[in-house]
Amino acid sequence: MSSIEQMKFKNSTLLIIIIFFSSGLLGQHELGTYMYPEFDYNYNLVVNKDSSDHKLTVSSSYYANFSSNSIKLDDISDKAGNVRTIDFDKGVDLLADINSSEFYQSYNFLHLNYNLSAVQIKFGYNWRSSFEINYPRALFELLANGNNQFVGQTVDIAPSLNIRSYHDIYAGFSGEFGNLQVGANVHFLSGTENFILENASIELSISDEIFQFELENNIDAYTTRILSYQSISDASFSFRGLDFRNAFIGNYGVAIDLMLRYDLGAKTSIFASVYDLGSIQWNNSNSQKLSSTGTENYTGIDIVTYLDIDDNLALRDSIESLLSIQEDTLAYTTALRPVIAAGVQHKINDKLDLSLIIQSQRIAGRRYNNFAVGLRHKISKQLKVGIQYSVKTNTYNNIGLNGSLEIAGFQLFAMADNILSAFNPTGSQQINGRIGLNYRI
Amino acid sequence: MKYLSIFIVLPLLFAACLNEESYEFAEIDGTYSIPLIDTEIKMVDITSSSSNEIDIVSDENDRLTVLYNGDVISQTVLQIFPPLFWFNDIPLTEIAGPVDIPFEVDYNLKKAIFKDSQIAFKFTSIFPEDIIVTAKLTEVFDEDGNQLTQELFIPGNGGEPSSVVGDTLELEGYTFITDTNELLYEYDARKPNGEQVQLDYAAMYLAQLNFSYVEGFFGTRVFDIIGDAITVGAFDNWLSGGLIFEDPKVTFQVQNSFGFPVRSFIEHITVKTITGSEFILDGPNIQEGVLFNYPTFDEIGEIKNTDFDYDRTNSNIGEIFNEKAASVIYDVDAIINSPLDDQIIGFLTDSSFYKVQVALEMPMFVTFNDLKLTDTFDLDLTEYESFNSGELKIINQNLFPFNIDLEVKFLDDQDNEVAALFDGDLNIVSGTLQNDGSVIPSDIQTEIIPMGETKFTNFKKAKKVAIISTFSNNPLFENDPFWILGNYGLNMKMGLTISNE
Repeated sequence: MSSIEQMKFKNSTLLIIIIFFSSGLLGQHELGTYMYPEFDYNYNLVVNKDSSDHKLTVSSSYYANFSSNSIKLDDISDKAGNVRTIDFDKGVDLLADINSSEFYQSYNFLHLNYNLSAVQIKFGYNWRSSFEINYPRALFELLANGNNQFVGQTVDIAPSLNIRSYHDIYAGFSGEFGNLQVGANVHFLSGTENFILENASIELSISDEIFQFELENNIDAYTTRILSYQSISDASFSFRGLDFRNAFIGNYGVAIDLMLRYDLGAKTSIFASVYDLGSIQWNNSNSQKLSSTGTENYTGIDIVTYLDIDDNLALRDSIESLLSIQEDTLAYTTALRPVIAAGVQHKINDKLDLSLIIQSQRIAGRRYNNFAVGLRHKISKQLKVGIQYSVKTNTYNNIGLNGSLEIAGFQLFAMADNILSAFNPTGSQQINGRIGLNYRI
Repeated sequence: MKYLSIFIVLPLLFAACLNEESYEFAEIDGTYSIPLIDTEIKMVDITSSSSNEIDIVSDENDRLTVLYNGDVISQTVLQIFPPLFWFNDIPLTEIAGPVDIPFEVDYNLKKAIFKDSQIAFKFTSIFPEDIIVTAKLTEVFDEDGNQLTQELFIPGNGGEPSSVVGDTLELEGYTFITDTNELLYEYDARKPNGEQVQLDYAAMYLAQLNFSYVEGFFGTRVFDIIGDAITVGAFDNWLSGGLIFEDPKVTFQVQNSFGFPVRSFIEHITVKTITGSEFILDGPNIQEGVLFNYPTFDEIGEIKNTDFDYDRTNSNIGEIFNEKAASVIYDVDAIINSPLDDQIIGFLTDSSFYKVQVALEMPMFVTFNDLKLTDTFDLDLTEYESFNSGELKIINQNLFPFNIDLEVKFLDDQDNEVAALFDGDLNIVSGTLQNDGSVIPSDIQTEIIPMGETKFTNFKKAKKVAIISTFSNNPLFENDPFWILGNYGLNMKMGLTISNE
């Protein structure tokens, strides 16, 4: 995807998923996930008592999440027919000091849960891809309105980016020991693409004399396949997402998930868990480190340097030469983004559960703490529905729905943290959901 | 920036996967400020960027002189005294005698040392007996003073002709001494009984006569050295006003290693002005030329230098040059052994040459008289098409002791003015000239030139830009010449703000 203008998105699986959100179903790392310990899918490490009558549960699910803590696509674009025109200027007043956006999707193609007498053994296969960015308000303002607004100032315009796609084979268990439940997964990972730029600094200072500017760079970026860089004018960006090419031919990693759950009597349980604690070593021949460190100044063209050469005055070349990027081919290691969650579930009565959940996760190197409170109503043995309110990545207007339906051994489950986004996805800061299907044998 | 834009919107676009959509960026309504120029340009910088044709040099007092160089012309011994080629046998009709050397010019050789030359003798006998021949060049000697000699044996052939060609003899290092320009030979042919005979056929084969050293008189001859023109760029873009050079010169620099008199002869030196008029350089001594210095017999192999100028003291160059010279056309000959000079026995070697460099020397001791120059450049403002206003900020400080006025005019394809950058001129005030030639820089001047929508719209129509510069003496010494020094210059900074809001 070398040019944004060329991007076209057709109706896709993602579309189906998002439409499902409007059916009031619920997701996983979406906060409502933690309200359904009886679901079988890749991240659930709770002993599934609902499936204890069955030896084997087979399931598959899909999860996608988009979040933005500030602007929405509608904030910065107008749509005419099928053409959406993006105008950065529209979003300037809506920005936070630091702005985060992410897109994350995970296919749990296969999840097996095998019941032994004391423990449940789990095995499965995932594909996961995430695109995370943090950017300062100044960068957006620079793109939207030019640099004149910063004359006489110093601003940091460095964004943070973390893009990764990888395949994941995992095995784990859940076990119950009195009031205590313990669960763990071990993941064998194989990355297909990555770009990471974190903890960078690009301080732009613009003089008020004749607008001389200085860039004080401290940039270390790492890329495998996503950014192909030869020079500042010869670089290409390609984000493939779900891609089976290059799977399991390198870029290996390991991760673990851990979960503890403790029943405080018959009605109340508390839990704590951490997911995706691990890393991938990117050692493909396409793995590059791109660095730019030091201070570069541009004060204008010195005519003296052009006195004895025939070249035309080259302002653009002179400015581009400031971005002296060092390119090295090397292996590097990136951590996954661990998700830490804890909560309490309380049975108000046989029909109604109350859940309080806190969750912490990093987006492009910046940590966000989320909070949710939810009620779940057991309408019948086959049908459960829930509603929740959450605060996610500094957004406060998230009303979620979730539910599950069991028919003839199948259990269909779905969840979303912000059901309103189903009606207006381009106007939403939070869009997410999971849909999955279990079959118990 | 393109990639940064993509990174920022990409996650947002994922959220829009509802329908088939295409995306485009709106024109950015921004205001951009960029530094254009930051330069401290001094005359010494221009000096260091001199080309082959133009040198700008400074003397010990940092005073500058512009040199427009003409072509360097040299002539070597190959033109003055070329090798002589013979391709036929030279019959030796007597048993002793001279062989004329067929020089094209009436040389009078005294002494020559051979190089790259060979000789062979040929004889034919019709005597029935064997014949022994001793052949000599009687005025050609080896390093030990022995005559060049070769003995040949001609076997008898019963009265039928019997021919012999002797081995080829290398003459390298042999010395030829003569008073007659002739090669004297003799051969002595004898029968076995001692009887001297004259052979039926005798000849000498000499493929090439070439010398590493020649002594003698080489005749009076004229060589066309140069007919060339030096282009003077000082008034290329002249519009009006004047620039007076106080002491222009046409200079000759000569190197000579021929050991005899060579004199320049000025056919003409013509100054052609920017209006096409031609003025002949004239002066009391121009016609007779200048005798090049030359090495004596004690200085064989040395190179002698001769520099001479035509300036205000010996020519009318001062008057004609300030008619705004565009070029100096010159035609100069060299005369060897001119009747004006001593008729001496001289010398040359195989490395002898003379080399003449003609140049126009313009010491930058000048007076500006509202000199107005203009230059026009093509312009491509397509990158600014989306912008509609701007502001130029210029900060300058004049290190020259003269005023500079700048006009910048924007022209369309037909050279019609569509806009002017400044309202009037940008006047860069003169620095203050001190008695020792140094300049106290002018105060720093800051100019803000707003470019509103109308002006900016007109700029965008421009296809060319004309820069008109006017130079004038500081009013404190309005009519006095002054030296331009290497450390004079101009500090200029320029920043541009453009907006499409």
